[in-house]
Amino acid sequence: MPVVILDTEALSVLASPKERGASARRAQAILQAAAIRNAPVRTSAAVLVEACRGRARDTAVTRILNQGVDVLPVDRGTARVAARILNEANLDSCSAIDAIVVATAIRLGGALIVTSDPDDLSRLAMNHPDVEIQPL
Amino acid sequence: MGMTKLSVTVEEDLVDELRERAGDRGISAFVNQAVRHELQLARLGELLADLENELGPPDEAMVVEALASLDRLQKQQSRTKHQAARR
Repeated sequence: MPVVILDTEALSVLASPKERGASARRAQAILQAAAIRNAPVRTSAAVLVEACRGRARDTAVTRILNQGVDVLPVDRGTARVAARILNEANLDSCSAIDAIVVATAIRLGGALIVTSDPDDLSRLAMNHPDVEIQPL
Repeated sequence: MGMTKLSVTVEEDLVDELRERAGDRGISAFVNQAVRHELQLARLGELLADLENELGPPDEAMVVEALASLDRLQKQQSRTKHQAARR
């Protein structure tokens, strides 16, 4: 069963949907599809580093996390996979969180990653056909 | 994690397959995972209801597109599994 993984922007869009117009509609449709297919929706603990900055955003994101978006920890194996694909993609550690998101998907045996930054994520996932990037 | 013992009854036609699939993991672990999954989906339903309040109902064409992505991914995943099994 595929898993849906939300990146920082996807979480932010869902946290304040009214301000995010078309992206929010797309994110809504993806969650609806996930519910229809019984696909779990997850994010990575690393994503929260970016998504929870500022009290208002933190509160809004926490609400989403309590509504069926489970947070996956960054363990040793995930960190090492992230480091490897960062190297392979020739990206520096500014993309560390993106790399952890893709590594989380790889460790799950594949996932649909919802993002507003498809270019970097596609580059990181280039050798992993089981990871699909879904732009918002 | 703390555990609580619950007594549940399971419909008969599920029992054989449940025992078989749970295997060495045990029935409790299997049921825990199933319950966790169901609860998560129920919570996701609340999130979808909130989004519908704010944005209106989901766009059907976009949902169809997202379903196609999930189905494509599932196909790709089972292809990978088969390839791994053959190796």
